[in-house]
Amino acid sequence: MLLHPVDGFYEMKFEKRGRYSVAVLNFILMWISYAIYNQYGSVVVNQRNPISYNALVDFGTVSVMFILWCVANWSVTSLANGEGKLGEIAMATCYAMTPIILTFIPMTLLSHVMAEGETAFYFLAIGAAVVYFVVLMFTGMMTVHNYSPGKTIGVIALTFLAMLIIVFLIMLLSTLWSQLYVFVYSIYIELSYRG
Amino acid sequence: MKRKTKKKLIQAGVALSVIAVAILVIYFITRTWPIYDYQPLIDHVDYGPATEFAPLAAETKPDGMPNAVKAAESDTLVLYVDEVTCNVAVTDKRNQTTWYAAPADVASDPIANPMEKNLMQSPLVLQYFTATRLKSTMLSYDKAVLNGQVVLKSIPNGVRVEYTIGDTSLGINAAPMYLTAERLEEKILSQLEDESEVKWVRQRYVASKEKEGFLQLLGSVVNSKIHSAHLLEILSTVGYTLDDLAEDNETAGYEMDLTFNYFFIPVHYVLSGSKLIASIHTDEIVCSGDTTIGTLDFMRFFGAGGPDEEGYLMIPDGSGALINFNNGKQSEEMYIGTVYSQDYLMYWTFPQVTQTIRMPVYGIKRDNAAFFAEILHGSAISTIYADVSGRTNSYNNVYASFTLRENEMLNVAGITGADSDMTVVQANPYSGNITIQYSFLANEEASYAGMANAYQQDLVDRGTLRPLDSAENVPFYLDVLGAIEKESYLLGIPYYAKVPMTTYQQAQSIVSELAAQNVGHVQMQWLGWFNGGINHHLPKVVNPIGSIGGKKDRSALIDTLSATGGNLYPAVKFISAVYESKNMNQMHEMAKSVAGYMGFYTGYNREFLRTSRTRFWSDVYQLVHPGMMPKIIDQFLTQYEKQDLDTISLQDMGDNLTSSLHRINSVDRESSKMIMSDQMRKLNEDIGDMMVVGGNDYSWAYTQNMVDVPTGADRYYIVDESIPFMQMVLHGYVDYAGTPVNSNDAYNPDDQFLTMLEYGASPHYVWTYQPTVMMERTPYDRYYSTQYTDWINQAVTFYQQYNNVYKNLRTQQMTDYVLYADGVSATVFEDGTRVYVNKTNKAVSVSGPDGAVQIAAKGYFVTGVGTR
Repeated sequence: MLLHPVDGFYEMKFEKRGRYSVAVLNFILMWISYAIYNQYGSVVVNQRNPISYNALVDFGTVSVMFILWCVANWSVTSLANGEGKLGEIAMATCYAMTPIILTFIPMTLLSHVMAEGETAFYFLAIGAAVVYFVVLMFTGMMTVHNYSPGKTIGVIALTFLAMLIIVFLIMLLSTLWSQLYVFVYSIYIELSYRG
Repeated sequence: MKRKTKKKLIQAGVALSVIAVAILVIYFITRTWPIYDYQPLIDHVDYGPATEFAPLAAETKPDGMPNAVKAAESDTLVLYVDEVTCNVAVTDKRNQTTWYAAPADVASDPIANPMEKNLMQSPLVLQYFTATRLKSTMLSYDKAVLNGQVVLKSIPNGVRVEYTIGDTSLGINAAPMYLTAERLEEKILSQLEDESEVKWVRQRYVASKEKEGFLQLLGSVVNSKIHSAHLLEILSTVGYTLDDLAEDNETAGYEMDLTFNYFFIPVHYVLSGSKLIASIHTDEIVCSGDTTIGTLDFMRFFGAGGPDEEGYLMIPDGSGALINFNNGKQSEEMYIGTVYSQDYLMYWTFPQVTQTIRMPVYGIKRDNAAFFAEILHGSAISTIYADVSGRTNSYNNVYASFTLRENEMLNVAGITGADSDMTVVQANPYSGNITIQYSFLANEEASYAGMANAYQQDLVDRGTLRPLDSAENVPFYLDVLGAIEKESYLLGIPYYAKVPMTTYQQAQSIVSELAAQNVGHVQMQWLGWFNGGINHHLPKVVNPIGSIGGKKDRSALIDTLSATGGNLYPAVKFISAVYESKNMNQMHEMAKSVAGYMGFYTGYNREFLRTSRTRFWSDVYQLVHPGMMPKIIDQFLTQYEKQDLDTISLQDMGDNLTSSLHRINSVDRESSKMIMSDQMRKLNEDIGDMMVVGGNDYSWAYTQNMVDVPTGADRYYIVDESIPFMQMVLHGYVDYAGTPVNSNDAYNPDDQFLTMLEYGASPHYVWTYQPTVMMERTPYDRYYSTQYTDWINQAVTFYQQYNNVYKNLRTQQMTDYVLYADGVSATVFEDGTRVYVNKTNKAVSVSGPDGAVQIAAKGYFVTGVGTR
């Protein structure tokens, strides 16, 4: 799939050769490699403070983004004649993470034998992995939904918009709920202490 | 289809009602969760039946009390009570000194204003909450004595004074609100001679709109003080009685809207030998309406020293301190100290790092007489105040104030600002007695040494203090930090690693090293051995930490220690548990404040002068509900039994005192003290030898080893000298040590060593085997100087020198302490040994009873029998 992304995603979708277990494993591996990248990267390249870095927080953030992405993408493409199912979108996203898994751990190891001037190679490799991840995502979306490249770009843009709308609605709802809670709670306090 | 819908509806209804019932059941269970029944622990001393007041025949009266009569007499004391002001006075027959509850010449005080003069004549000063929870103050003199609302009664050996403090007059309610025209004519108008008065009254009573056929008093009269007073004056001249009023109100069917605002408080004064016991039974106090008493100042000016008198006030701050009479420091802050320090539950802000008051005592020395007061009941809710003359009056006084009800602001409606805060007042106050016992000391006993001696004698008589068994050497107190919990990361996931700072084997090698240099009798307190580390989880279970060694290693360590007379004391915290405690049920086992806030607190943050959340979750604590403590300790004891240990160190039980003041399942602080004391007795009986950190007085009966005992008082500006009062009480009965030498704020080992000699406090260190850098980024970074290799040489030197002086003095009483000059003192022992200490930078010569003594700069000198 890494070498022939279009074929790979085609087989995943139409020949049912993708497996959810592999997708979940991919996701977890991605998270582990990201944690290793942040926790054990050498001081030369590591931007995070390893004594206050909490991988569980990152896991939460990534999971939320992942779910948001899948749901938003699914809702947009359902309206735009996309052929992909929710499961396929998730699977394609997880499969697209493979380059990150393959690069981050070896690069973290390598970073410990690098001098400051040599970090360019490190960042090049990391950058390449991220770019290839984006390319794979793009190809995946295109194949899964059976879109043209132009339409895929448009749909991805709309997906980001949909993500924003979802976040906005959730925040609005939670604010309203907390206001309602405070209102009921203050009535309870007034009744119990002042009465 | 329809049937199905109906069935579904019924099912839903059943499910909902089951849920509702479940919620109700849970609600009631949580509200009525049973806590320990502490009521039997509360002491209700009864002073006998009260009878009509019958004064004894007296030949003399104390000066300045023309209305005094004799109420009781003992071998050494006479109790007088003034029949007008109802204040008491005690005359000591040994030296004819009289101690007045209110200074005899208040009226001639040139500084005090009339309000202050009322205050000085009030043995009771109330700060109370009105029905709308506003704070207000009442004095017993102007609100009870001047209103004639005090009743004297006789009780065996004393007098009972019943105060009704407040306003019980009817006011304008004494005038009829409604009455018929005939009654007005008959009862009032016909009796008046002055025509203008008749006219005035007639105009004030108009035909009522509400009650037909009746005349009604105008609202303008009710609301105007001048008109009200005038009408009441007229009514009294015509002889309109309360019976008439009742008749008029009944015919009109009118009920008076009476809101009296008064407090009924009986006070007992009882003589017992050379002691005066002053007591209030809080369960006899009556508060009118919805008012409640907040704090109660009791015997505020008892024995106050006048502007021309010589003497001092003794306050229990830290180890004890003196404030000289008329020291001219009236522009400094007065002394205020909460006994056993402030409750972590209610107070988060500590603007100063201060010494804790360990003993609820204070005293006054005046010329050749002195009294020494001990708060027998109510010490945990008391605050001690001391002030010198010149501020608002001419007297020097020290007294105790009792906080019956705490209050707290509760934020309502989620908005901020003063309007949104509501005052919540503690619902269930302490219900036992409040008792102060005054011991009178005459002539040569009248000094702080005499006070300490009197206190010590009382404690010995009560069985609180027992003499120490003799031993070859003085103890060497050593705190060892075992395992600490440190936040570590695996794959970026945080977890608490248990880092062993010292293992049992390493500790054993430290002890051997000490023994090789003749340091024996090592009393080792072990911090961090179970449930996660030093800040451990709730000790309902006991899970020892394996990384510091197993049971065998520990036994080997104990054997090594006891070979030279020492022992191992594993430290346990009971009144707080670290935030991460998984086994703590926050609903039931956590203390709650007055307004229901959860009892969290954190380590002290010196930057913000308060306990605030630090960088570490292992430095955030939950306060344990005192009412759940007995159950938790029972669970602890069954688990501790399996550890085969016969010693324990109480890290916080004798150091801090907390309460749970929320209206549900509340335990006030004094009752909490009773519970803690009782639990310490249980721990002592079940486990054996105990070490206590801090050493509040309620723990003294159960321990003969105390560490972190105060060796000095706070340097408040108003305080003149600090004295080893606590040491004079404890020496010979308890082995004690101050705070560790190597955890002091400043590095001044000479001064610290001299203080040890001066206060008779054994050497005390806190050590780790590993380098302290391992405690970086943990709440224990305050132990930055504990690696034992840095300190062992100094410790050995200090111990040897100290042991030479004190090994024969250990079981002796400290009978006196003489301060020659600032930093130059002598500590005197039973057998006449005097330990002279000079903390100044110059050699000094002082004249002791054995002639002149030369003391080197930063040096000490021992004279008397103890010198070898």
